[in-house]
Amino acid sequence: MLVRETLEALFKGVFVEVWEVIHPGILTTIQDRGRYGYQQYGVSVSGAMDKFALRLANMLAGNDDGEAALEMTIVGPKLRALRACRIAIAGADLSPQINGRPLATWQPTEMQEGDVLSFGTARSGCRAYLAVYGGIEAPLTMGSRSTHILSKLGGLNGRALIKGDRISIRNAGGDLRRFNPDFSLRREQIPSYGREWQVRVIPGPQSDYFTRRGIAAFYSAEYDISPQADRMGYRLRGPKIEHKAAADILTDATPRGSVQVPGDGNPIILLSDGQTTGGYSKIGVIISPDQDRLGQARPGDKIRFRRMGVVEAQRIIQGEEERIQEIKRASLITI
Amino acid sequence: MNMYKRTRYLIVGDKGLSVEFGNALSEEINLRVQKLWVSLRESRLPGIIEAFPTIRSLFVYYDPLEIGVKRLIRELKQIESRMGEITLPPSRLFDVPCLYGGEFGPDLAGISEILRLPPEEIIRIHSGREYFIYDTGFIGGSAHFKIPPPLDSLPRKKTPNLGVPIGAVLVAGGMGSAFKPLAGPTGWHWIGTSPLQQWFPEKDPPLLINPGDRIIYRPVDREEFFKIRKLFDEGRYDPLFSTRHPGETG
Repeated sequence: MLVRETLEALFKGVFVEVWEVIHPGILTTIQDRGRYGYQQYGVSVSGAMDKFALRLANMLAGNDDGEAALEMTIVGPKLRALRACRIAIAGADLSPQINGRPLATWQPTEMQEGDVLSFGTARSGCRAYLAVYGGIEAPLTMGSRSTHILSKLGGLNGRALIKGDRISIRNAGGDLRRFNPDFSLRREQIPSYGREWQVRVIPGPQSDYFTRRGIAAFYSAEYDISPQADRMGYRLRGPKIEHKAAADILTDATPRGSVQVPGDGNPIILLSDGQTTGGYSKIGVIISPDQDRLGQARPGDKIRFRRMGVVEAQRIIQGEEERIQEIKRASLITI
Repeated sequence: MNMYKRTRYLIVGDKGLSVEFGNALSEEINLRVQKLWVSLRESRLPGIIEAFPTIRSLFVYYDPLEIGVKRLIRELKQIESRMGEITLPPSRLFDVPCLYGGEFGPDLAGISEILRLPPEEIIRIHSGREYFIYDTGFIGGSAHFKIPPPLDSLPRKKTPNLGVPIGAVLVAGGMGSAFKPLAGPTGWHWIGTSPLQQWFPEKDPPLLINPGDRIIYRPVDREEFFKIRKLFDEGRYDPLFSTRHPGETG
């Protein structure tokens, strides 16, 4: 079936099944930019671990950048197309193939009915985003389609994909007719992922809980990401970070990127599925763009932390957003 | 009660700010947090993505593309200076049945040994008194309150309990958790189980007990536990005891 017919069905406002899950991969979940406004009820924000890659995958597929996509971890799924669709994969290079033929990431492609999308070795990064034109359908739960497995919210019944699932797309209100067919990303717009990460941290809110030696260790030493690393957060191994006295605080908010240090001195980075509040002292919070980059880090990778002021961090966010908007403009035909 | 003379505005990353009023479990501090929360909402300050109260601070999550940190702090200080006029919504008092000990509270025996008090005495201390709910955080909105001596001396468990069910009544680190919203692991001591439930993701608001509410535990036996659980699950049990307006005393 032609992509055009799929699109016509979408414009009529019907949900359309696009893929059948032959194999789900290690951890494949539906994610968008996150669930805001419910942290007062202990609801985690969740959302894509690498929102930059999510947004780019969506733009390449012809969507608004906040549509839901599949987040695939290390070992990707195997999906059979139930009809023609336009897709794009961004983020980690998990060796995608269509019918066994290698497929480039960070650019749009069409799948025809019966095509099988599969993945091989994880060549770089940890999480890839598969966006499909029309956006992935899942019930909007508290304003988001993101899956939070711990509280069984969002996505497909609050769980990861399983064999036999059928994934639908919805008419996301995007308009493929405005999509620039000659659009492609420039090489320098595509991030590359190594196994060593420089991460910028804004000190506080409890940096006064640590000794000078503890703070010096944190900003100079190299830390390893331990095998205990998932969407909730990464436990690190390395030189212990020393507290002056107490390590625990009266519980307060633990936003994404928080680096909390329990009494044992080993830092924990909280990420997308992190709890809303916690009782460990926080030495600092990782700047937002670097939280996304860390979504591509794997257990065994090395991390170094560098101190940064909040005003400078907000300038960096502004710069990144301008670059994303520039890509967005390039992806559309100006009318 | 350890309220700061000057409120602290703490930087929590590039999108977060914590407005901290003190460093103690104090109702007075928590009520200030809630007042600022209501005042901020009413101010309709642009650039705020969400804000929520914790024990002694208001966490403000904002979009730095819309409001920079310096202006945000300036605006919040303005709002703080005017917030005396705010009236908080009424506080609701809930009757919370609890089946203590045994398989429904396997850590009660251990606590009894640590504190050298018979289990009945621990139940007597824990139940029958009013607790003020400071926050509903963590995962699924655990409702937290301050517990009295000598229970407040209990640290967290060295080895976490792994399979703790919905409804588990927990204590640790000077705090109590009303009844666990979701099944899962916890490092807190599990002393009883309530037939009530806290987490209703399909409802708005999704929680039974919210910050500023109050609860009283009432010991029940096995038979009553299962009777209430059945009624509650069928939507035929209302644990709301009374509603109290601000300024009224119990």
